[in-house]
Amino acid sequence: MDAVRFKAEVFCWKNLLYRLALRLLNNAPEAEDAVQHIMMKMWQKRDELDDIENLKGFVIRALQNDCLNRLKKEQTIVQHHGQFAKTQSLSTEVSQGNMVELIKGAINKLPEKQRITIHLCDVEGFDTKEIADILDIDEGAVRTNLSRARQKIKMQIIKLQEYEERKV
Amino acid sequence: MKSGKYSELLDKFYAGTASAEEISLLQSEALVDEQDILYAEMLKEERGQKMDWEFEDFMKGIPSDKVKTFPARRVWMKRILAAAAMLAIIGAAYILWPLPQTDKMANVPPSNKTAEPNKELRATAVLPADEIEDASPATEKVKTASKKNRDAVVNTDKKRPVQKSIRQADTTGVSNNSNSPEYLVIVNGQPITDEADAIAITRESLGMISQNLTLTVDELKPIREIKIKL
Repeated sequence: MDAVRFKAEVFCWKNLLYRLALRLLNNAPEAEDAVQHIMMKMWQKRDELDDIENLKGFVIRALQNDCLNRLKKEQTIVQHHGQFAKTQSLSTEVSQGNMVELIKGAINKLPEKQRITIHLCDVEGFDTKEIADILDIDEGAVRTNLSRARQKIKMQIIKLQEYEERKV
Repeated sequence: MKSGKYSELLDKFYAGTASAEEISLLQSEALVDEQDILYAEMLKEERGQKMDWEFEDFMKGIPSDKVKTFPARRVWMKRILAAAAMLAIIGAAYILWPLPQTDKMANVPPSNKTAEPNKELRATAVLPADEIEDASPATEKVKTASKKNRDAVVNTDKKRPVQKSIRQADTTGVSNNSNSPEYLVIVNGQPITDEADAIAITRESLGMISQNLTLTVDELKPIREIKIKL
């Protein structure tokens, strides 16, 4: 695979990968680093990429694994939890203006599978079959995860709105 | 049929591609509420996130695939140097190595394996009287290289001026010997007139020398084991 093909078939997914990494890592510089790392790895394996059937899914899965490895590292985990704590502390200052940020925080609180599923489906527009291929689960599980995730976020939004009304 | 249509509309709503009419239709059917609209707003914002990274920057960061060619290692030079060093060592060993033993030395009786430490043996060649006087006072201690025989000293009447006289003796010795056949060898100042005794003493002394040489050679053998790494 030459540079032109690499750009058209792999590098074009950089924004998608960045958003997913940001969703998983909740840290913009770390997400950028993860994407760059994956791109570099893909470039090194560019000759083997021709044999891969679902290249997009392969790259997304590689990034997911990389992000999870990063999260395993103690420092990243501490940072990650620290940011969650920060988000939670900010939740006391609910306003309509930062409601979007709070919803993001609510998504970040979801279990990993649900978080990835909701992100790939609602943000990136993947259908259930594609998500099932990427996550290596069946479509029914994808639908269940998606439904539960949406329900939880909805409940969170309702809670936040109720809190806001009480405050007013 | 209707539910399938709403399902498509919901997918469009979450994908952010639904029109205002479609959203109002979903709201009227109670499929979408205020929370969903807020969530859709968040999704729209999420989709706007992009990574500021161009392909050219990525390519610049990639290390070159070209195989770096280093100058050919000068192995041949090292080999030549090693061979030269070996030749030098062999040459030095050949020059400095003791002379091969004669058959006479090989016949030395085994009882005389080491030279006795304090034994002084004066073997004086048959010389004219005046030359013997020159040579008699000075003795030169010849030490062997062997540690075992460090104490073993063979004193001979050999002295540099004596060497000159020996040479003279070589040239003139036949006539001198023929002129004065009273004694053949002087040992510790005592002339040995008996030919058999003289031969025995000479053999003994030569045997001691050869023994010392043999020991020296044995001590020098480890030189062969020396390895030189360059």
